[in-house]
Amino acid sequence: MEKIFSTSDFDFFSPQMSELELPFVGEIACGFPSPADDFLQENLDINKLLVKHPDATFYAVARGYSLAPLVYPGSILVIDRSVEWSSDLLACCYIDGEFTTKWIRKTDDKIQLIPLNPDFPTLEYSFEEAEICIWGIVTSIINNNVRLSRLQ
Amino acid sequence: MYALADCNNFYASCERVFNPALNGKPIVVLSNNDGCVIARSNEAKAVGIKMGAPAFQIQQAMRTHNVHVFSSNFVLYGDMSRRVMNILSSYTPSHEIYSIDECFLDLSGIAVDLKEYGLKMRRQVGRWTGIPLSVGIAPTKALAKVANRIAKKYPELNGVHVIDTGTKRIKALKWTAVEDVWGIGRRYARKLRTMGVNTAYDFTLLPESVVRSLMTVVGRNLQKDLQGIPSIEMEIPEKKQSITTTRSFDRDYNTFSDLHERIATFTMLSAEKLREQQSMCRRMMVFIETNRFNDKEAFYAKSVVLKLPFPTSSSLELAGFAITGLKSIFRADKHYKRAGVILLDFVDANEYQPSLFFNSNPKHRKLMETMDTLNHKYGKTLVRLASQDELTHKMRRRHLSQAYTTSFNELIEINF
Repeated sequence: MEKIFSTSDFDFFSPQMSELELPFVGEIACGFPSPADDFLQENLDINKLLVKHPDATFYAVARGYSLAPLVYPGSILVIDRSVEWSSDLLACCYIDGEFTTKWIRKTDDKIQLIPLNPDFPTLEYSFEEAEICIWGIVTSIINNNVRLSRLQ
Repeated sequence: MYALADCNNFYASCERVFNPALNGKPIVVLSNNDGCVIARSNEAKAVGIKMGAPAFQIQQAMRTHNVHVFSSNFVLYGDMSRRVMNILSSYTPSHEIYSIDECFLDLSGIAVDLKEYGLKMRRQVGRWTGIPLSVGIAPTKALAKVANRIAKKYPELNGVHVIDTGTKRIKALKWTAVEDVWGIGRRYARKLRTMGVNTAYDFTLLPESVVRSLMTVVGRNLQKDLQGIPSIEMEIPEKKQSITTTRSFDRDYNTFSDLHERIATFTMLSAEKLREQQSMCRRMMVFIETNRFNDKEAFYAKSVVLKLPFPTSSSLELAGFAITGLKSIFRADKHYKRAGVILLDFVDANEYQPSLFFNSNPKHRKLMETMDTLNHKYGKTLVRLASQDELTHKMRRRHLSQAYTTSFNELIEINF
């Protein structure tokens, strides 16, 4: 959804963005047209790739540089609240009054939340405590403005 | 069997999803212009904050109890409601959205353990959206409403109550005060009390003729519903799902005021049809086009869909929105040949609970009725709108939370 207009009372959205379909061209061929182009019939909707459960999906925006190149300031995190937690997934958590992200490691009786920045300690919670602080699972990260200079 | 799924303290719950630190804390949500309290969390109810209390009067109480105050954020509430309703609709082939936070589900033919089914619904909505839900399940809609009240009242039920036996029905009805019965207003309740009818159960025991003469056939249907005989049907939508008014112009229009007049008139015509079928709309589309066959000017066609902050059928309000939309797509250097207004995303005006949407001016309803009557009598356009300018005034919303789910500029922020 693209916010197109805003007054003090309302926000208006243009629906076009939600129907964005990009023709899938397979590999990017340079030079002459690929004969396979004649069989093009599928369109790709990028939303379908990023959003599996629209009613459970929320977006968040990242602040801070400490996780580059995974996340930059302004990166959009796609958070799916319907995904079951398991080890190896990235959780969006609410801890000490702030939203943050942690890797999940599940043991028999505990949930470990591992910070992305190794300078910070790993937190350990019971399942009930984790239930309270895990807000959703980060399923995709959208990095706009990809540039070599941002890696350095 | 029917289920009534109802979100607990919906507006306050929406605010909490994006501000989990407020779980367990008192929250109130204020009406437009931050005028009065329109929603309270249980904690706010517990410290004695009353529904409808003017904000300025209870400021002291809010400070002493550290109540968190929010301006109404209907963009957010609308989006969260849409998510909850979508999830609920997957539990039934037929559902009826009753208000922003309530939905009836027709469970006939669904042969499962209904308590478990309700718990599953509640778990999914809670997990997916963060909104706590209560579910009442019973043979009729009125009884489902009663069951829902019970589910809310007793935490040990885990938010779901099923009335599936005569014994449970009688127990539930004896528990329900007559003024708390869905559809029995305060006026009827007072009258019924003087007749010795104190509970919903007493009401079901009244002779049919007494109920009919006091509350017409509507009251009788309600009584039958409470007796366990389905009499209040699910609304199956047969009405128009959208209303379009579009015209080509007799000449090229190139000023904003020309189009302003046209769009306002198209909105008036559509809104009248909307009121005729007793609907209100939640979205509208405005579009303008230049002449496709003019080779001196590049063809320009632009449309905008407005998601309205509250359902309305008021010509005044709709025209105001339409003009705001027109402003966003109008370009001064063009010659326009055609324009139109489409109303869509309807709700039933009779089943919509006006108290939940303080923005839609309730006075407009009467005004519109009068206008329609006059126009039917004396010709289409006797009573018209002069201008919608007064509708675009600035509102006071000092405690507004972000449009967390609908604007890329207002997402929750994650700090690393």
